[in-house]
Amino acid sequence: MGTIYDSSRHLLSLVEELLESREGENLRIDVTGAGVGIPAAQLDAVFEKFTQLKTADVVTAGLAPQESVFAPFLALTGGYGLQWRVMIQLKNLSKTYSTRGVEHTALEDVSLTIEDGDIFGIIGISGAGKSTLVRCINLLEKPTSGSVVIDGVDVTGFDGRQLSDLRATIGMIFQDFNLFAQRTVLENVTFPLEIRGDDRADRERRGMELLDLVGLSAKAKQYPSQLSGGQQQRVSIARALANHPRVILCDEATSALDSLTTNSVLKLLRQINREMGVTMVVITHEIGVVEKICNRVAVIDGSRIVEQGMAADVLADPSAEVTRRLLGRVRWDA
Amino acid sequence: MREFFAEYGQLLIDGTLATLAMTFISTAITYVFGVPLGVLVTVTAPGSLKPHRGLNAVLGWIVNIGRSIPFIILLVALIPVTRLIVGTSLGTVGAIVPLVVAATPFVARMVESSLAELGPGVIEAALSYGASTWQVIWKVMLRESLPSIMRGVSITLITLVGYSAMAGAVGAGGLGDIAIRYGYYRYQDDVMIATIVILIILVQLIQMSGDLAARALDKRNR
Repeated sequence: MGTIYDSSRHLLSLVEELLESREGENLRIDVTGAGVGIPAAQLDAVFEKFTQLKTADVVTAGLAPQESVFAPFLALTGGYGLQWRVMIQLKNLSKTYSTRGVEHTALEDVSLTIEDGDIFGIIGISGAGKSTLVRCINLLEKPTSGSVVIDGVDVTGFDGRQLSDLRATIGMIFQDFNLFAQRTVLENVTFPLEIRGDDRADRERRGMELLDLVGLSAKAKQYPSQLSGGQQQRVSIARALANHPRVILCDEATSALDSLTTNSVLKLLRQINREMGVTMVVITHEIGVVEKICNRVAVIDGSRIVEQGMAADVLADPSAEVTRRLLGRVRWDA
Repeated sequence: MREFFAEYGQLLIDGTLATLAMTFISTAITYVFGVPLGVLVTVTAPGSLKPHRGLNAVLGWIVNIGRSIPFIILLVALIPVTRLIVGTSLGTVGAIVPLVVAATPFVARMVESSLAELGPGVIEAALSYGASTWQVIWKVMLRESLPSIMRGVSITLITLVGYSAMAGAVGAGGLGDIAIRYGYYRYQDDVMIATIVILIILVQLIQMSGDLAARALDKRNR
């Protein structure tokens, strides 16, 4: 304990600033309000810091830190409000493909708000549009209409150099790992740095650091074909982290792995989220993934978002038919 | 046997060297043109990195036309062009121009099929890390396909050994020339058989070293 994580640090500096400017007054910090999630560990750190400050009286209105629920506004009784930082905002996103004159809708009017520090699950059955949705975030797919806002900047129209620079700040991992078979593990991890033009010594240092983090530094000189599936996914996670990303997009990251390996990969993702404050967007068709690591979730069905909210709420009381089916609450052969 | 080598040994050695020179020089030059052409055909294809229907169709046509013309016809038809480029249509040097023209479309197709073996996943991964089109081509497509392209090189070399023998018919020199002049026109079966044996050995050696090189390069299945 005691580490103040990235996004909480942002929050804390705002709190400290306010406390400083109103020194001597007995402030009351109210963290109740409309629910917006941040990971439990981050919340713990914030509370711990508040206790250290001793100048503020934290009101949590019955919400225990482990519920991972925080407020969009950190309202101070003096009338100050602090807005939690939005990392990704998708506004009325639509995507249609046309093949030989036949239109196919992959996304229809999708709006989502993903906050800094979220592990945001997007769950749906095959063909629901999840993969297209996640690819719209880093513009591997260009939305037909609507906009993509990352960290306050509308990036929808980005191309060329601007787009490359944006993508460099968003890591991505894939179901089939998509490692480069002809490169060593270390060369795979440092690929994002190589294309940025970093020199070899720097990128190898960073690469070894990351391989240490994922527990594979002994495999640096080996090739992906010599590793197990779980190890390959760890390498691809290290690769996704190379550029110090703000966001990591996980496209069915555990769907090709057995259940034990899945758990270890999920733990690694959660650890990265907690320790580095990296926002995660997790695409999956497995409800277990949402249960284990996501704090918020959106359910996508037939190209539309049919339900979204705090993961705990949605899982406890699903309103959409498809969510109940994914939860196994509908008889499978009904 | 000794008499045979005393009489034809030098001839066969010179012929072998001429064939090797034609084959290797032509292959090297062919790849200079064939790889970019193959890459261009690949990346302009629909759904690829830089789709361009018009350019892709035109390149496809050029490659197909190049591959449709029988080599022996191309050889004769290109004589004025060869003279213009290298000053002569005879000898080893004169054979290189038609060999390169004939092999370039062939190599372009082989490079294209090597690149096609690469799944779209790794290209997408590279793009997702901010790689430019050029970086994807150079650092991902070509690098990941290198073992497969290497296998294509040995196929090309062997094809050009055959083509260069044909070029012998119109004065290119080399083993093909010897086989035709001595074996065909003068009914000297022993010389013809000797050239064939040498050609078989050449082809075997090229295939073997090509396979070795490809295997050494390929980091999969270790």
